Amino acid sequence: MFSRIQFKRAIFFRPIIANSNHIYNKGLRRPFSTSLKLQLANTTVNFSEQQPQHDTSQEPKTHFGFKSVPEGMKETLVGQVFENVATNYDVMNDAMSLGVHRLWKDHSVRTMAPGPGTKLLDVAGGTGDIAMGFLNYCKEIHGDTSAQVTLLDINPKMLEVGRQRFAKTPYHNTSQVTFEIGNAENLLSIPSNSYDVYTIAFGIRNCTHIDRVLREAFRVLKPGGRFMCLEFGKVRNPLISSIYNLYSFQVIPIIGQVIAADRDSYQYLVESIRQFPSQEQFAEMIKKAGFTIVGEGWEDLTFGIAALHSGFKL
Amino acid sequence: MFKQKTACIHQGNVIQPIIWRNVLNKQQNTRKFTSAAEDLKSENSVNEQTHTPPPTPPNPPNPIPAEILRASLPFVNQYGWTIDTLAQGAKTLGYPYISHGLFPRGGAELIDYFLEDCRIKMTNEIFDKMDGLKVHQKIRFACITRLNLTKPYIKKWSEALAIMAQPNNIPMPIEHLAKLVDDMWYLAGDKSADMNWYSKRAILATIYTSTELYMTQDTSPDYIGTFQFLDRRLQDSATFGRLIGEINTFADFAVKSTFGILSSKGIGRF
Repeated sequence: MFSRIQFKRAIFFRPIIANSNHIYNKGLRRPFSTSLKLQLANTTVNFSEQQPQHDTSQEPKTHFGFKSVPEGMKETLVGQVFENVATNYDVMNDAMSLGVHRLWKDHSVRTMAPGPGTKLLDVAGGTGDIAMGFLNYCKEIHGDTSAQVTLLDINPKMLEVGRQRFAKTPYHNTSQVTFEIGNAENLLSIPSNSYDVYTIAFGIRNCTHIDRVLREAFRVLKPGGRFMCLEFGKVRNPLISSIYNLYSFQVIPIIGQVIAADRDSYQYLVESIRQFPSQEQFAEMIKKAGFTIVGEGWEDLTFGIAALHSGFKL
Repeated sequence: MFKQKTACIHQGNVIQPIIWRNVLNKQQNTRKFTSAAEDLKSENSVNEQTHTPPPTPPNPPNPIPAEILRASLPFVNQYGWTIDTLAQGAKTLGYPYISHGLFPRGGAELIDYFLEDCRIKMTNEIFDKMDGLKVHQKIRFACITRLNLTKPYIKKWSEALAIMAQPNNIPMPIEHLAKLVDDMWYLAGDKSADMNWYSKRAILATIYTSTELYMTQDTSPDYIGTFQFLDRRLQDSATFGRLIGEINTFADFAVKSTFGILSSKGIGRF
């Protein structure tokens, strides 16, 4: 008798596992690979793993997609991924999520419901979707022009895309928007207790030490401040989950290949989603960093494909 | 809904949970202290500190959300049952506007808190003032006490009713109403354990909600009209209750005689 789980595995997981093994078989050159930089990075990773005298091999490992890399390496690798995708980032987001990511971001801003004069720190803000939604909300709902947002991103190229986007809006060259290059794990330039809201949308997944990011978020927020994190989650419904797996492993890399001419970066994207902790685990991590959560602490969006996590500094 | 409610039996009397829980709490609070003066002090401070818990509990437990809710109530008449009110409450305590996010359902959560708070206040207020009253007087006293608690917000109460009528909020007011009438009947000394238990609560729930609805539109000085309305409804229910009793007797007789006829014809052996 074939149990339901075995059936599911036979149908959906075997090809995926086989496929990912195939992709990570370093001997084979993938026919679709075009991002040379990432391949170069891959080979350097292998190299450092093979050479014991190399410093990085002594470091603890972390995951980069389904691969295991030395911790110091992840930042560079993620940096390369986002350098590759920066110019096509918004188009690709629309194509991959069929526009739904806009609804998610809109929903987060509405849930935040900022009031007049709110100060927002948008970490991993990149192209500024959240920041733009936030400023628009303040302007339209409260007629308020005193709300401020700081866009912080580790990647200058992503930040440049955001800057160009804001240049076309009335917020250009006002005190309402500031851009800053910085690492979410170490917000040295930002004083403690200085922001009302801290948002990080689809960014925390790419950080090496999630606990350090959360600790820094707790530090920079004012008492009563809110930490909000929009991030991919785990889909619990088995049927939708299998469709979602199929879509993300079989379709998204191909969309990446066709639109952005970059399969590897989007392969990394879907893998990093699978590596990210589930909603429960992440809520537990938020609590551990000192935040108070309310209720279960997150809200599932679109069956849990994404989840909006919240924590309060009380 | 009533899962957590278990009555306890003390010296042959059934004591409802709401009462014995309060009594137990008080006992525990006083037991901690030794001197009588400290006892008195602690009682006062306990009375001041007893917050009604917020509807969505914070994790780890934290008293701040309850304080924000309490601080928000004075702003209801200005801002209505909205997140603005919650934000103003948070501001008075020195927290930023966006702290209203502590209450994910927004205004509905404030209403939820208010209803629970009023119910507890009502039970504490009338608990020891019931001696020597007749049942219908006790019920009337309980209703009036509860209505007086809604009085300060009555101008915005229709807004609250609209929020409570939203489909996703409907279970919340129903639960509060059920708890409220249950407490009222218990305090009035109701010990029924049959179908009356349900009909009594249903009738009182109808009376209470209609009176509250009347109160939102009442323009008479000091809400005299509302209390007259309440008296008329209680009068009705007394007549209605007698009617129900008669119907019950008749139905009982009819059923018995039907079965009697059937068994005399040899259909079914009872």
